Amino acid sequence: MNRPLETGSPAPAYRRRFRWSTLFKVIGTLVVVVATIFPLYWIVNVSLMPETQVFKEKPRYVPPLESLSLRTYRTIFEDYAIGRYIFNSIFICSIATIVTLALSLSMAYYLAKFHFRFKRLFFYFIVWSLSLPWVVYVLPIFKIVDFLHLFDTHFLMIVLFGFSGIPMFAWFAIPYLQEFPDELIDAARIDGSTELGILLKIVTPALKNVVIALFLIRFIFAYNALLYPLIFSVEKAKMILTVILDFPSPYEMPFAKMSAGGIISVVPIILLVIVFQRYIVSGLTGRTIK
Amino acid sequence: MVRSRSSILLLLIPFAVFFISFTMPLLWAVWQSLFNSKGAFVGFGNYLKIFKDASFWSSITFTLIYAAATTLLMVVFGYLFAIVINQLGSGEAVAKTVMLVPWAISLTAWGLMMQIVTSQDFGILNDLLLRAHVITKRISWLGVEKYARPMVIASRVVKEVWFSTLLFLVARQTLPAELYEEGKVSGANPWQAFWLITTPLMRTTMLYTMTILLIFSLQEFDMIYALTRGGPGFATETAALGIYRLGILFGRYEAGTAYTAIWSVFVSIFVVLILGRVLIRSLESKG
Repeated sequence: MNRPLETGSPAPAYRRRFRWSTLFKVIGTLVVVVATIFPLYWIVNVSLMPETQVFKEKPRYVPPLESLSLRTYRTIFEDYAIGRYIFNSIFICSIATIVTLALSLSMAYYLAKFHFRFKRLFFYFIVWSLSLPWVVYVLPIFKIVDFLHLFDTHFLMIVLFGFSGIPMFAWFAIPYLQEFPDELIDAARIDGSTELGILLKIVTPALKNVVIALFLIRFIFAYNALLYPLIFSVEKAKMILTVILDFPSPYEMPFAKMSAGGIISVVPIILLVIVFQRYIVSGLTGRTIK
Repeated sequence: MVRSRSSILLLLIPFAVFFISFTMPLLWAVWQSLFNSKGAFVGFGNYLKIFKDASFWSSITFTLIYAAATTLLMVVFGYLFAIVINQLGSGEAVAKTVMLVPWAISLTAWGLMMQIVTSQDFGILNDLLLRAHVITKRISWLGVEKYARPMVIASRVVKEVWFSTLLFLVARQTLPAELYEEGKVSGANPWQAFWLITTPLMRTTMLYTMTILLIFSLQEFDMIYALTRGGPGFATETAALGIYRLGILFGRYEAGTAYTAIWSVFVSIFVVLILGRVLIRSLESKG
């Protein structure tokens, strides 16, 4: 690194190289855009064609304009209570996310700002339980749920999604709380605030952006998760992802219907991503750079 | 400092909530795995039975292959993509926006889409490969074991590689630009800058990313359930699918709990030995 400075760089080549690099930038950006958007384009494409048009030996890369129709969507909305299932998903995931964040922020606050013996044990517990796959809890919870007659209820889904995220979101939140200035907390303590009061009135408002980011990520994780809804809901508390899974059957592969279902289920999340892109990026990446 | 003793409830309530609703049922399941369906104590009987089950070994092996392959591919490609995208100038902001699109699509919807894409007679994949003369006749990607396994891995990587790219890209942008200025001044070419500046500084990020991706991969249920249901045969069944199939679909609760116990002990050991240090370090305060 400490080599002497080189002088007299070749200036004339600069102009030509500049154009090549612009070309590289444009092509590179295009490649990324196509690679990331194409899957979404493809599902939309298939969903807009009548089922008979999909089953062609030569797939239609650009759908024939005259055959485009929303008929598949209309049939899905007629045959299934899509509105209710989407409502279930959004309702369950919103309440569950509030529960998760309240509990995990409280845990993270205590672990970040208090010193006590056995703190390391709690860290081990968090790390251990955030690494265990969800599936290991399924069978015993199934028995308990059966015993308590909680099967297929909104309450159960909220509890499952609300509580299961505690370790992971405490893990997400801890570095932000560790960075939170102690002076602000001490000042509030001197004013006689309780610790809960400090968490609610000082820390949470100051970390508003972090809380929004974590809220969005927890919400999207829960909305996009399949395992618990698949096992613990049948009809009343059914969520949208399990509905679209019912579309393919051993007897038929309705590609257009499957695609339309995929699009319907993904729309709320795509909207969130478009509106809150900045928050989501910072929330997802916060942990890797902290 | 004066503080009331009740403030420890801020820690204990969330802890107890999780412990009672998740950890205790898991421990109970491990205990239950020692009994047969009539409630008689059988010791390791359920385990011996499941060890004789070929589908158990197949699903454990495949989970490990799947987790290792997807994590490695996502880290390597994600890292390279991030380095290239970082050079795209104003295109980088565009890339960052569109990279969230595959991430936003659920693994379930993605699995359904990949069924359509890889369909033997009507899929776009066979069509493209035929046009490019890579293959001469249509391949049943998900119907044959030798293709189904790589195809399932590829399906996941094609979607999630953008997630790891995003993690690396943002981490890369936090590296101080002066280092690269200095490197340029000392005559380092871009290749040297990549190996001597970027890569050493990104080591921690790489470890974290790998750890997170590994944890997510070991979970795998959603996409494979939507894509192949573990087939053909049990070729693409992961541990999560195996536990679901035994315990819920087949109603063999004892076999399922034995599998649950084995899988959770296995992951726990793995966490303590390999991932634990990275994760614990990520929790301890730097201040």
